[in-house]
Amino acid sequence: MSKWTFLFCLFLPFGLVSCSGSNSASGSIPNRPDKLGLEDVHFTLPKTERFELENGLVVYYRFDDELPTISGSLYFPGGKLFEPVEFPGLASATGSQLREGATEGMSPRELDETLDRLAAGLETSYDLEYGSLGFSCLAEDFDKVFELSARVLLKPGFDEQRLELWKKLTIDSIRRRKDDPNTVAGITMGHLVYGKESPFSRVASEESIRKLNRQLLKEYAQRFIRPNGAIIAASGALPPEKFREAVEKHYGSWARQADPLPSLPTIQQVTVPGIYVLEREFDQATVLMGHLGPPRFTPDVYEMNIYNRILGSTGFGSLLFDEIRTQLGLAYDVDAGISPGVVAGMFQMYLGTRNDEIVRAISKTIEVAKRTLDTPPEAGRFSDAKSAVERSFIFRFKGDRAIVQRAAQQELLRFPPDYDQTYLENIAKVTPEMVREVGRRWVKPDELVIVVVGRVSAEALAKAFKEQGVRVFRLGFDTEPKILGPVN
Amino acid sequence: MYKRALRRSLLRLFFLTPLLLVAPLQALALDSASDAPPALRGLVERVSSVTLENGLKILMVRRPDAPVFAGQIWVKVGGVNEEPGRTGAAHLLEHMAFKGTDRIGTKDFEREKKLLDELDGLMEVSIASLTKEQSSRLDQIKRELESIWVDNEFSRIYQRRGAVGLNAGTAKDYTMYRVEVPSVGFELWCWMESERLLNPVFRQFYKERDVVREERRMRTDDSPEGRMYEALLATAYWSHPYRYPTVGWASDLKTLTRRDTSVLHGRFYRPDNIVVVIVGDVDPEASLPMLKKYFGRLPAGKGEIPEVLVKEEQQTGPREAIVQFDAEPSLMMAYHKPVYPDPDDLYFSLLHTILAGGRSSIFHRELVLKRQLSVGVGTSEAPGELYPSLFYIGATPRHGVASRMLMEEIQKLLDQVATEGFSEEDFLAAKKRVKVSFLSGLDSNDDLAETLGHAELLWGDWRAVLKMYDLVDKATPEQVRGLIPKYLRPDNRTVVYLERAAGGAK
Repeated sequence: MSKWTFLFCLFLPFGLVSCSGSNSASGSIPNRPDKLGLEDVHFTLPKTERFELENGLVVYYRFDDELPTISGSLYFPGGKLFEPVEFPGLASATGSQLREGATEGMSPRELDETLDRLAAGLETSYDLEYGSLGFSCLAEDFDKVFELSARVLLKPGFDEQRLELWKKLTIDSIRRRKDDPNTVAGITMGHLVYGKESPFSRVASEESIRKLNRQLLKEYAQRFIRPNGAIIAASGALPPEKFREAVEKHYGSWARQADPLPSLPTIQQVTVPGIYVLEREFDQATVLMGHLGPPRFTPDVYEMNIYNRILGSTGFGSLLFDEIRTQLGLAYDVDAGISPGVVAGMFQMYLGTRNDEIVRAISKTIEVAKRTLDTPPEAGRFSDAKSAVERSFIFRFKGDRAIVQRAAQQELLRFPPDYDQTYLENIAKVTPEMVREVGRRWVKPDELVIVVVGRVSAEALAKAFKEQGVRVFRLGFDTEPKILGPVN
Repeated sequence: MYKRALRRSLLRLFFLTPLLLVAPLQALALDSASDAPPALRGLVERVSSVTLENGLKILMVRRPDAPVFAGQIWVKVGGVNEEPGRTGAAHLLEHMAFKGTDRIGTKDFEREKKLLDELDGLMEVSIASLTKEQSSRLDQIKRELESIWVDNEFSRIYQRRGAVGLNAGTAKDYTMYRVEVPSVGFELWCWMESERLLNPVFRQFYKERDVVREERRMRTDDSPEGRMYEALLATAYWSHPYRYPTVGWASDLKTLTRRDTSVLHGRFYRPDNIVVVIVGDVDPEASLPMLKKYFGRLPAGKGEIPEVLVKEEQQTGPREAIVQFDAEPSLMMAYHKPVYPDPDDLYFSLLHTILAGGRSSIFHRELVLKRQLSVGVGTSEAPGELYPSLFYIGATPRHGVASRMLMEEIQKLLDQVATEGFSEEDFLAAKKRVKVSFLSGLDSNDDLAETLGHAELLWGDWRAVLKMYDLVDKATPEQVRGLIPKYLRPDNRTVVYLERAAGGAK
């Protein structure tokens, strides 16, 4: 088994402590855990075998035979960002029907039974900017399952009946969107920040789903699915040379495509800050506050990771958790963070609070966010967050699956090649002032779009926030949000 | 809910091998007669077990792949141990376990203790009946306590050391605490976990009670599934405490006191009612002195652990409930069933797969693909595993399909399977799927720790899963088919319908 090696450096000001735990077993128990010392952990990054077929398909693989299984993902180009504006839902349909619609020469029922009898998993889907095919099975069945994966991806059947059923089920799910306050708030926030028609936030409608047909799916798949730009990440109990042979056998004849992929869409929306209220009979008000954020790879990512921990991305011990949950008891779930995105991500804060505390909860949350911009983080909180980021870095490489997935995702998303190698160095350079500066760059409390879903009066909110000059709008939501008009 | 419960159901079935325990600490040898899959042998041979003098059981598996480990504390107390009027106490106690100790989370414990005692006295009477002086004193105490408390210090100590996944959960039968820590922090973990068992301080109780009320609003009151599940338990069980919501009734959450959680802690948080599990890069042999040093401090429990005396009588006719909510319709059907060690409990895991596991399962094939009556049909088991539980089916009707009609069609389909059975091929496929599902859930330290801790706590010996494995492996189609006429009958059934209220009210 090819395992990676960690090298430790232990600095033990209060006595030797090792992972065996035996060295200080005979000493007395300190009255505070700080007296156990804060040992540094240094480690070398795990290496992952990478190879590339002549057609451009990149493969990351790690051998691990602790269990007799193998699993992985094949990521391929395409995605919701590239679907034609007149066909919202086309990427989702194609992603789903690659697997659901089976393959040439095999009916969906045959494929279902074959995979179930092999106890194998095989699923396909499209995300914003890429698609994925996931597989898992016993290592002894790998060749059969991997062959089916290639047939599904390269010779999809797009069965008519399964597509029609998928359309009906999707229309049913569109009708159920309004049942869940988080779904309602999430879709609304996307529309307000990116725009209703933007591929970043557009949602399918009953009408757009009805327009989809087999030919459209075939054309979409043919246009985008290609080996150049595709990456496999897998691990399991198959020797690496066998895995390589299987990739070459089933995916080696996959032909390159020369035509370039479309460029990423731009964001045109002009956001109108304010509070957008959907009055619904829920006992708890769901609140989402946000605005546009940074692109995926921003040099600010190191400061941002520490900023997010301090403000609210990690639950216990963040400012929002301490003040909104622990001190005031206003919410069970409260979190916040700056999230980089494909072209532009978001800064978002979320909480759920009882309806009669909505004004206090919103005001206090914004007040906490503003405070992070006024002054650099307090020394203890900063050093805790920095230490947490540094010392938990190791968990990103916990297990072979995590290691190959991380390597593949970083290449897929075009991260700098030395991102992981230099991560801890870059974190070490961050100062409290740098954290505040990055907060100021990406967090704009006066530009927040605030979506509220609950038994909350829009008029009452308008009155409560009148002095601050906050605009309040009333929303409707059947299957999509609709601004019914301003309240003030 | 469905996936999580099914996963646990699958996990508990297949991590089994015949290992021998030799106290105080010994790597357990695999019985050569075991039918356990060969691939599991290497894993289970690494399970070590020790029982400390105070009765605390510790299980360990060394996995040196990465210098990290998962640590879990399992306590045999949950919603089933609560009394009427005090539901939610076990869950609130779990929240309290993150508030620190006499040395973590406070600037002055001596002063804090006096104030907390005084606060208890005032909070246990109705706020409305407090005199003006008492109200004023209450406010003064709260302000002073706030100046003494150090918010979330317990969690911040862990995070500063690089710990991830710090969390806990309360179920009907148990409470479980989990965290993953770099291995160099092993002694820290021993310090933190033993301290919070030994010297917990239930501070910030009343604010946390408000937090739990928000949790209840989110998970139950504003969730169609949450409301249905609560109605299902309250309808299927008439007397057994499985009928209470683990989060607590909304009315109980207004009146629970700090003392209620202290009482529960005193009764159940004792070493002989706790299992500690460590999986990862920690050497069992070398770490034993450290474990003894820290966890050996816990005083042994005195007297008997209170038992649940109430038994649920056999259901004698169909039951129904309707939940009105501003959401599209759905339904839940549940049937009483036995739990381990009754062998039928194990046969149910195969029935789950045959009925609802995958696209070729009977429910998906017939109700989703062929007749197109449902968006999806799933099965699971709830609410507990120590006392007779429920096999339940959750189904979402297609738009325009009446829920009652879908329920009747599901029952007819069950009756048809009972009469006609299923093919040998489908049966063998179900066995294979259950085994593979089990394997895929073992690859993280946290999952393996959960499998071990769960079995050891509930059944007194993690190797109980061996018997389960054998039972499932040797099950016949007839034993699985026979479950339907035996249990999945209308007179043993409870159905909950979700209907949209007229006018859109919840």
